[in-house]
Amino acid sequence: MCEEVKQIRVYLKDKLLNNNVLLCLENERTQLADLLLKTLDYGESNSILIIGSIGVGKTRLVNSVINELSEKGKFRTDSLLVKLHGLVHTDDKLALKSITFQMKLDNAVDGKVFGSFAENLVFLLGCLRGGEKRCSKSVIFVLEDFDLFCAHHNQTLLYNLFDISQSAQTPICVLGITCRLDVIQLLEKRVKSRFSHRQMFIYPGPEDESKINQLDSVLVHIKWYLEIPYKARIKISENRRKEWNQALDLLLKDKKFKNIIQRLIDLELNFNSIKHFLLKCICLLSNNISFSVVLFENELNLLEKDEIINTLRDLSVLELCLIIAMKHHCDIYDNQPMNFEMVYNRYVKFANKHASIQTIQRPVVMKAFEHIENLELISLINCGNSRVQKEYQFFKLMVTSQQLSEAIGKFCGLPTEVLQWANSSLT
Amino acid sequence: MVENNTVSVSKGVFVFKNNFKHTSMLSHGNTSKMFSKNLWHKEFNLLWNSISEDIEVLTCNMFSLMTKDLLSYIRQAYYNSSVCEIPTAALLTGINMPDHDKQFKNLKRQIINDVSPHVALLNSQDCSSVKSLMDNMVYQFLNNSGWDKSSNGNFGNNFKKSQLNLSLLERWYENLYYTKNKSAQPINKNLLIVVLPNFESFNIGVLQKFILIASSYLQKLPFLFVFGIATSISTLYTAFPYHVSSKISIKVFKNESSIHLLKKILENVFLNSFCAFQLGGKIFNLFTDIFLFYDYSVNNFIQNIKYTMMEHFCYGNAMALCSLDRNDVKNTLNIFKSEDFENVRHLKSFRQLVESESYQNQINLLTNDVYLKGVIFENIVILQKYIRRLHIFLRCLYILVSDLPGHPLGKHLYELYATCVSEDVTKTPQYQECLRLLSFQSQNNLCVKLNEIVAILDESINKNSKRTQMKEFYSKIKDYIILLNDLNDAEMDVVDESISPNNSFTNCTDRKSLKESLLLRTKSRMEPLTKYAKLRKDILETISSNFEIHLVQPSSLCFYEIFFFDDISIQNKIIGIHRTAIHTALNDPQVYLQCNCCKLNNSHSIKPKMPDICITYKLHLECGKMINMYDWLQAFLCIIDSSFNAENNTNSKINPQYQARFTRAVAELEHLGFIKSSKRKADHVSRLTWGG
Amino acid sequence: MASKQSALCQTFPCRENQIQQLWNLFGHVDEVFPPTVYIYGGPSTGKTAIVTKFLEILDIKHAKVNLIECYTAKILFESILDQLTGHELDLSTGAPYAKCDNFMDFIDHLQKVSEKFGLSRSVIIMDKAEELRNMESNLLPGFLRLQELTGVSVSVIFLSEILFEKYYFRLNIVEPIKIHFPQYNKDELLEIISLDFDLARELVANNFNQPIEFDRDFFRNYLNVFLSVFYRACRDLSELRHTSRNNFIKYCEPIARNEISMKNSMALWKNISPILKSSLDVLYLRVTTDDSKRPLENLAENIELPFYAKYLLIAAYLASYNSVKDDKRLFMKYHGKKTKSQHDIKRKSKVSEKLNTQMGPGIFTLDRLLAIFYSILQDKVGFNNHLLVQVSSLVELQLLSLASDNTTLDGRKYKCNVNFYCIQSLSKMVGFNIRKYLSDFSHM
Repeated sequence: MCEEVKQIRVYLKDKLLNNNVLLCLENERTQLADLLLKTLDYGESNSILIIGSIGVGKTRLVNSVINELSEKGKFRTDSLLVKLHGLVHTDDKLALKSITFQMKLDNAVDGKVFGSFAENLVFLLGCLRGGEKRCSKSVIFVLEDFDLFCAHHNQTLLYNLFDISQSAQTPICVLGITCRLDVIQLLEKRVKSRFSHRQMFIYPGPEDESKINQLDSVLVHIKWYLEIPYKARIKISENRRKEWNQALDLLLKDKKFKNIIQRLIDLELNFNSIKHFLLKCICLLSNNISFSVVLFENELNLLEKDEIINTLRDLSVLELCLIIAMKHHCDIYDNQPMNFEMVYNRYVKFANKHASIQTIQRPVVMKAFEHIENLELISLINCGNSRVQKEYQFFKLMVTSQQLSEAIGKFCGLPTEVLQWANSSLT
Repeated sequence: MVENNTVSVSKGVFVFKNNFKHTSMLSHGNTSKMFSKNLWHKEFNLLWNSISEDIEVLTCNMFSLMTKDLLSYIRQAYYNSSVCEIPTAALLTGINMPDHDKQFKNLKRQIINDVSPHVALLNSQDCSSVKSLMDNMVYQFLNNSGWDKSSNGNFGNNFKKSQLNLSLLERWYENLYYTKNKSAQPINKNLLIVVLPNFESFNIGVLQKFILIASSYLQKLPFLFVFGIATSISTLYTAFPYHVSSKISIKVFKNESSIHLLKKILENVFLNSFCAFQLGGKIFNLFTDIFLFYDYSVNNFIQNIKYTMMEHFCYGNAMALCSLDRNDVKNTLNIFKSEDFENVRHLKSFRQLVESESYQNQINLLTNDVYLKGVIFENIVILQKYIRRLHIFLRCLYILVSDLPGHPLGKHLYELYATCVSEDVTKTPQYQECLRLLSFQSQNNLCVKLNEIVAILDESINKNSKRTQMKEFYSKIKDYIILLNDLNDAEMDVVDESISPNNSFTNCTDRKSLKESLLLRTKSRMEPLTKYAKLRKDILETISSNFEIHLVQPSSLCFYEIFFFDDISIQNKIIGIHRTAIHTALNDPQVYLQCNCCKLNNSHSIKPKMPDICITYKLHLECGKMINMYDWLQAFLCIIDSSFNAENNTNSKINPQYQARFTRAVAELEHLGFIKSSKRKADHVSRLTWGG
Repeated sequence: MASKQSALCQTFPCRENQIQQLWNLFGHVDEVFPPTVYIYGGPSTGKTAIVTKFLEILDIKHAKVNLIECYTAKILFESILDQLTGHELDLSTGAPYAKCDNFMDFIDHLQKVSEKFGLSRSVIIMDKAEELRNMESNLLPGFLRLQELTGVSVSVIFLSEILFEKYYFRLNIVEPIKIHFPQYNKDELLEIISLDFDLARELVANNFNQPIEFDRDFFRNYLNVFLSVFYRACRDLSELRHTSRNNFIKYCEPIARNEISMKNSMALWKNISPILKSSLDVLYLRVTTDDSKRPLENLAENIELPFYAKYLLIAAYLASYNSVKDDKRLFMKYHGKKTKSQHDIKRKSKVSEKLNTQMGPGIFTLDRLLAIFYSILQDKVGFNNHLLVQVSSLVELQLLSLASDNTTLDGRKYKCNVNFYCIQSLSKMVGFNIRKYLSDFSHM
């Protein structure tokens, strides 16, 4: 492929994958900035929850605000930033450890013994009160995956943080980031009462939930992601760049393209998935210099495929027969659980009816059954004692009959008897 | 020494692994103190040791065969370069094989010696989880790395448990074999062999994971598994799902069945003319039944025999004569004291001897030890002869009858033995039946059998001795064989000569005459005996006459008790019935204590003299599922304390001594598992045992 | 670059599409790697092999962990770090590069490592990723967002046999880019297996004393025959390959014995087809026995049990698969006139799915077991220890399983683990009509 395309690819991928630039959400930024400034400048404690679905850019929002502030030099020597993550700091001990570390207080702490968690935390914050009588350092806590902190043992960390933020001790600001809308319900009463019920909801696209706007915002994103701005660090000729951007504009105006994106949005509105989608498209970008609608369309079709059907098509005929037997069982005894014996008998009945189906030994069928279990097309229902023989463990089928029929339709080299059997209304 | 660590203050129960060496050590150990001076005990030791050694040798040989091709399999497992499944040897060791563990220990030793120094032997009890299994295995590999102890034998033990994982093992293995020439394929890299003696008792899930892990390392670490499977190969198949079973390639090795082993041991150890101690028919049948019906355990069988031997010998010094060596017997007789002779006189068959004798001799027998000594000696000699011949002729008979249709005398040698020692086999209808069948034997069949017989006689007769019946018999058979061989050519004409008189049924018009003619014809077939038939006839006669001489039942000879043990009464001691035993012990202690202080007139009555535990037990039998401790105590006191009566002094304080006794008794019952304290009801215990 | 790609396609035929996709994501120098990729597909579709080879070819620094092996998270973390740093375990202490007891330690160790060695453009391969679900709850989402958590641009490739949607059981799961490795179809299988032509040659050379010269078409013919039998039952490449090798020898035997000419494919087919049929019965079971008879026979046929133990097992089966209320009717000689109740009619018309023999074994007490034992055993047997020992040794052999705690002495409850086919042949051996005593069949 030609050099310039390479360049474009490199550039776009980089832009797509590691950028923390924030688009729109302007007012949220200002709001958040004000909040932080209050803490930093006037030493007001505060707490806020930032709530929004995955990939809308909550973290990016916070980061950008903080970066901006630090660039403005707001983060003076007398203020600290402590970042915690629900996935990393899975219990309060770890959290405290890393708080201590991030405050660079390890040497102050070591050797000391603390009665309680609260004591420890208070001590840490106390350390911040420098020798001079001036207001102590203000601390900003960023708690990502906030909801996971709620699972900690009686929410000690949250309790203490909020408690401090209430009382006029060290000025701290607690930013909770989460994708759970019901996160408030997760808080214990005593914790909830100490939380200043300040919440910031972040929506993909503008506030009012109307499709058309969504589409627009997504298109804006796409445009931003794919266009090559004026003084981008990329070694391609100027007119090439213009060409590219013009092509892009045309594309974005294209009706078909808009439909595709709409479909994508309907599939799931999630910026990560959109990113991945774009990434794949960029990957396909070889010799031809600009995107084509077809390319997007193909990718989308791939994306929309039902994976279960793929898995079903990967099965051997025998295994498929078992699945069919299970489906029949489900139809007859409306979705009651089944065990191997039942399925096997049903299969054997079928196999005996048709001479052309080669007879297969029971153990081999058993192995096929186990394979299906491994693929988790059926799921075990464990009823009390685990030490049941395989033949008698109960399962339920995780494949819908539509999926099955579609898979059978696409399955190549399926014997006609099996086809008939599958389509035969339950007998 | 064993008894040292079994000496303990508390009267605990000590478990011994039940293999021969161990038990024999025991018998040396704590019995020798008491009995060592007694003649009979010396004799017993001699005999038993020789027997146990023979058995050891036999079993080893049996397993050695399987071990050999197992080892060869292990050697060539990784020869062909592309090994994509873990080679696995499945040893089908039947259930209840004797010294199963010992066999695997030997196996391990042999593998270490001939194939690879890296062997890990995993037991199910310390492999409850994948982690523990891994730790266990890696530890074994690192620590007992066979020969090169010097270089890296003993560095493994300074690892923390948490560090024992496969990556460490891999590193260790590389260090062993790859470092010499980093790039090139290492020379003679030894396999890592994992042995699971008892597959069934492992946790299947753990094993599956383990196999998957091992297979993921297969390219770097050449694993090889050895599974010991008791039931059958199909258990492997059901145990592992598809994605696991495809990771291993199994080679099956079959152990010989325990029946086979038993047969071998019987024929080579007990049923031959070198073993002085002989089992009587009833006992013998009892043991074989236990074996076939209850447990296929050769080990038990042998233990039973050992028990009977003890029973047999501790009759007294008379049994010291149980030996097949003449001089031996002479020596023992020489050091016999008079009470030993008395002991002999108490033998049952001695009476018959006495009765058969004249008055004067009777006096001598009963009074004169010297005279008795002579008599004993010659009788013993007769017995010794008898036993030798018994076994020889037994085999001869076996050869003749073993392949007869319907097996009138049984398929196996030991069945034959059982009949022979319990009755005169030659008088039994089965024997007659056999003779009848034998008289239809074809010539070459007979010839073959005779040859076999000759072979047996060959090995058992000592040539340089003087003429004996044996010798005569031997030579007779030989002559017969020669005759038979000569017969071959002559046979033909004789046959057609015998055929000729049978003309066609021209003259028979009605069924009656036809019948007659047929009858006549059959007669004519019988009546002119062909040469062969004649020969066969008197061959059989001579043989069976010999049988009649030698295969008589032992009880007909006097002093036979010295060699034969046939006291069926030990049955109750060998087949334990623990429930009834415990019940009677607690319900009617007198049976065991043999004291008349607590003799019961009816089983329900309770005597204060009885041991406390018995009293509490009998009381608790009257209760239901839940037992109120207080009532129990009251009842207890009622019995043991004559002055006590429940009505008036329930409030008065209970004698602490009695209470202590009661508490102790209850504790003992709990220890025995009859009751257990229950949460459900205050100061109640729940009863665990059968019925209400 | 392109040459490498084509080489890869050579070594892994019928995977061009997947390799192309991988190439687009990771193949180009100075392009950013995607944070996470999820590769899924059936067993032996070349997921692991291709990915590892691919990374080796492009010499991308990578750590490969098999999740099955990581029975503790500690092992997972430490082996990743060891591999990324190229740390060699010190045999005297066996200490890893860095001790990680939890995810947090792992994260900051990873950051340290990246400062020290530079981990950008390096990859972590997690094989058998589905195991992550059984480990600590934070690991799966954690590794899915590793870049975000660490700020190190190390990307993670998950390999798994199951669909990604099976992971949706908790929130905050970020969906990765997915690549599907489909199962090979018949032609592709033929294509691939026919690659071990040389190996087959070698095999034949080793097995027969006089060499047989054959060409690729001959081999392909064989494979056609082979697949025509096996393809419907199994599409697992490794399994098919293994079986095909075993049978190819048998296929060639008549030629070696000069009975059938190599040209006469019809006769060869006639010769091989029964063998193939029989080896279809032992598919997936890699067993080779010395004796020629089918290695996989019924449990009953080659398990050696004492006579009474056999009867005990049968009794246990009856106890497990009959309901208690039927015992009287089944086992008592004179249970009186049985009045046909409505219930019995219902039982007769019981649908097959509701048969006891399909619902699995029930639990029974020792007393019931012994009662049935004595009633089905004609001759009189003393009740003694040997008998009880047999019960426990059956448990030891997993033919029965204990279904109660060991506190009570006689209230023991058991369950029978033997299936009907086995018990049937077992009772044939001892001459006992099992069907007569099973309530499922007795009314037939």
